[in-house]
Amino acid sequence: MSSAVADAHADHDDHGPVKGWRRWLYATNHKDIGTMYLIFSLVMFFAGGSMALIIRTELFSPGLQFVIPSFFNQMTTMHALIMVFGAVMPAFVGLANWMIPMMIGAPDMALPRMNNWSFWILPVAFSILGSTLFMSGGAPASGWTMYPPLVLQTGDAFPFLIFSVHLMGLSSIMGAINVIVTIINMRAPDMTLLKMPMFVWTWLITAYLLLAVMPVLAGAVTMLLTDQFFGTSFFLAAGGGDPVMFQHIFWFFGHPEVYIMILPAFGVVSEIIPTFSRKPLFGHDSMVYAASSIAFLSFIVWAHHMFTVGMPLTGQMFFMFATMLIAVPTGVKVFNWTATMWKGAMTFETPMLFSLGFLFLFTIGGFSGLMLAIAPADIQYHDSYFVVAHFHYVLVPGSIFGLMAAVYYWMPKWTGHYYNESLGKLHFWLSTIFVNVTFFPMHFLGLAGMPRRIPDYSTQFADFNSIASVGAIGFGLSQLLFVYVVIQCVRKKGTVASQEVWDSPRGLEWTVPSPAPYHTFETPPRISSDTSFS
Amino acid sequence: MTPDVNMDDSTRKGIRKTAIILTLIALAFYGGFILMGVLRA
Ligand SMILES: [Cu+2]
Repeated sequence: MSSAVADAHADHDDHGPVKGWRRWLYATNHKDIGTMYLIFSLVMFFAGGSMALIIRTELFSPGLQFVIPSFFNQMTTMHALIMVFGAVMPAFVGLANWMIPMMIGAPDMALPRMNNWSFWILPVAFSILGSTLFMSGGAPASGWTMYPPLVLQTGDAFPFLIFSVHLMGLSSIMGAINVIVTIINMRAPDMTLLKMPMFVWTWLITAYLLLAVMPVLAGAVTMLLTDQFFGTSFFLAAGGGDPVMFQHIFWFFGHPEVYIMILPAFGVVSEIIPTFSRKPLFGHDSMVYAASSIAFLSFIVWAHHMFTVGMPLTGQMFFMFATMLIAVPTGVKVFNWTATMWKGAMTFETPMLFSLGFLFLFTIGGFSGLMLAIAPADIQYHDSYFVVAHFHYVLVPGSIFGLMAAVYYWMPKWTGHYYNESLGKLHFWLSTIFVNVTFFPMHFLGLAGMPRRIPDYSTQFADFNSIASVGAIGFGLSQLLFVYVVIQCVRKKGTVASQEVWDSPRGLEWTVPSPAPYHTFETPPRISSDTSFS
Repeated sequence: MTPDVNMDDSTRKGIRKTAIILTLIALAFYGGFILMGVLRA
């Protein structure tokens, strides 16, 4: 299947990358745009991470030490907005840009100019959001969920918050349209849908989720805007509106949003585990159906975030059981990954280590999610540190470990050089140890009754909080090692990578040279009918 | 700068059609939810 590939560049050498800033500002090449997304998300990861460290420094011991409560609330809100919309989502879009065309044998994304807009809207959106820190009344402080009426008390920052969320939504929607259009129309001949690699599949499903729910978030914040400035009462009880309706609309977006952040990570792990087990992915088609079921179910579980608002018992029962149902397709995935490794010739390079870390630790987050799904128990857990522990297990050793695994896995293909394997492994072990030191004690804090989003707490919570803070600082510092490893690899300090990079990996991305040329698959690759890609 | 993609006419048409449908879906979700808010409030 590789014969038509490598020489495709030869007849088309008239335009490589343009020199200077024009290459980036006017970028339409999927690899350049992917690189910009990845760099942007790394910057945001450190911006959001510094805010997390301000939070953990204040919480190191009881009492108010370093920041005033209003600034603490700004930090929790901004940390979440930046990590969700600035770090995790753009990082996966960066991977999609880099890898989807190369994995389906397409020359580029289908809508390259719109791709440029999708990216360049983001720095604008986050400059606007960041600038709110310097406005009178400070940055938004009502939590990333922006519940009215609290969010309407935001100072001058309020319209800027709404505008930046609209821009982030616009960027995501355009990115999602681009991914779907590319996958539907640009696959190499003979690459049928069920032949597509799992990363492409999970991104296709993710893109549909984005397309359906980002406009809903935009609608919700539009209504907040008109409530504040144009005299409407969508959510204002005084004018006959309903604040709980905002929560319903927000979580109709918010629950699929968590799958938007985890499904592409599922895809990454489904690429990596087969490679380092030297076996095809177990149950490829059942993985597709499981991911689709998860996506469908994610639309009918939103009110599990709202068990305490006082809903009818039938409502509680419905949302509780629908939520628990998600454990079934998720279990299919976890067992399939395990079965892929069964009797495989396994090796443990850094991408595999991060994938295995993902498998164990994401599952912990999944189990605590099941606990939270139990309506009567959730009334106890609600708004406690148990919830914070739960979603950080899903997002850090889940989404972020998935991202780390992907970067280590594909970086030799991007740069043409291996990263430093010993430092990569060190980065994995430091991250894994500190992520547990940070977030595991939060389960105990939550069960003991410590509420979330508070700058001060009773003294009985002191010990676990200090442990969590030490872990957070350790985790933050360990990520500097990641930056060092990436820079060394980009500066071509490692061994030269072969075209295949790993030991007989499956997929079209391994049939192009390392580093991947500026243009790939200008002639669609030929795929024999018995080729499988995962 | 023009995008570096060569493709045949039917692919180009397919891309345009899919992109328009998806844009309409996104607008429908945006408008639909605001309309729901209007009807409830
Ligand atoms: Cu949820």
